[in-house]
Amino acid sequence: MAAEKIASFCAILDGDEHEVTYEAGRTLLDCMLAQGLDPAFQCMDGKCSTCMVVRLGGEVEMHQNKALSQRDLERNYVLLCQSIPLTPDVKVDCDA
Amino acid sequence: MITIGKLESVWRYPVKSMRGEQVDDVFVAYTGVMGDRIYALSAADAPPEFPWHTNREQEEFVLYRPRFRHHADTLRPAAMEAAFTDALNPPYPQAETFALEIETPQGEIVDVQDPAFLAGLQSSAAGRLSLHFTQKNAVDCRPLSLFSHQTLQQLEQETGLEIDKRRFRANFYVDWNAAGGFYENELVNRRLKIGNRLEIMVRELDPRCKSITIDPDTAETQPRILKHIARKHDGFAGVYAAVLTEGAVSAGDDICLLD
Repeated sequence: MAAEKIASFCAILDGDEHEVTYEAGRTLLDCMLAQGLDPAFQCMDGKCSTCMVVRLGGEVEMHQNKALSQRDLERNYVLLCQSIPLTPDVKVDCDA
Repeated sequence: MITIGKLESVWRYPVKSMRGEQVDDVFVAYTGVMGDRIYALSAADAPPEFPWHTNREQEEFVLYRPRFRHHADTLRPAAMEAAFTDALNPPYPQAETFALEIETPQGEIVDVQDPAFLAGLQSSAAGRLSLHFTQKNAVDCRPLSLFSHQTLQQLEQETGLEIDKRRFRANFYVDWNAAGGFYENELVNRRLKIGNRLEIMVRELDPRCKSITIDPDTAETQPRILKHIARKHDGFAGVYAAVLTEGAVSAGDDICLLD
């Protein structure tokens, strides 16, 4: 499914579940910040891993990944600052 | 000159990203603690400005225990006192003095130069790995890193987690006399004297990354600590320093504020 058709994704932050409006072409982090949420992040370049979150559902694609190991990827970690949703059922846990 | 704290412990990391060792009475050169991060693994597919293959890509690096075969000779240059007397910089020993063996997580002892050691790590790395040796210390930014007991305590209180200080991979863990957590942040651009000769200048705050999420005993990842530091402390914990005057230091040395 093309990213443009995705309207929102779900993010768990500080124990609360948020329905975050998705704007085509933007990253999950961009969209969370635009909605006034404050997930942890630093470099916004896929290097520092501060924004690593667990993907609980759906599929995402990362522009680049300079921080997560193969083990992290196998454990479903993704970087908020690099991730674009590919499916409408994306759910991430920022508290993990 | 005001005494502001004590050196709680001194650490060096013979192989970048692998387990560190606590040392005493160790020489600190302009390039950092003698024997610190003098071996590193580089990956052929890594960017040239940061070629290192680290615990970021392979968390279990922290479970490898490097140790120098000639430990005592790697603590101080043989001619240190004589060189200081003549106001000279003590020359380092030959590279062979820094011969290193490594205990793997499986309990095997291998020589760092043994191709089998590299081959074992290579199995879980994407790009071709090679061993890099330098007496210049393959640190990321500055020759020294410093982290306080008080900062650790504050982070534990704020997060409710028990945090092993070794996550922060500092060279100097310090105990401030009368200051709270993150006091070291106030020391940027200040000069400190540690022991009877070493002088350093704190240069900048230490921006934290994935390394601190890795448990030094299990290699398991706990991103919460890094996230907390990002949200509550702008991503910084601890400081980097440059060496102004070389010298040897030991745990228990006074830390004095020069200016």
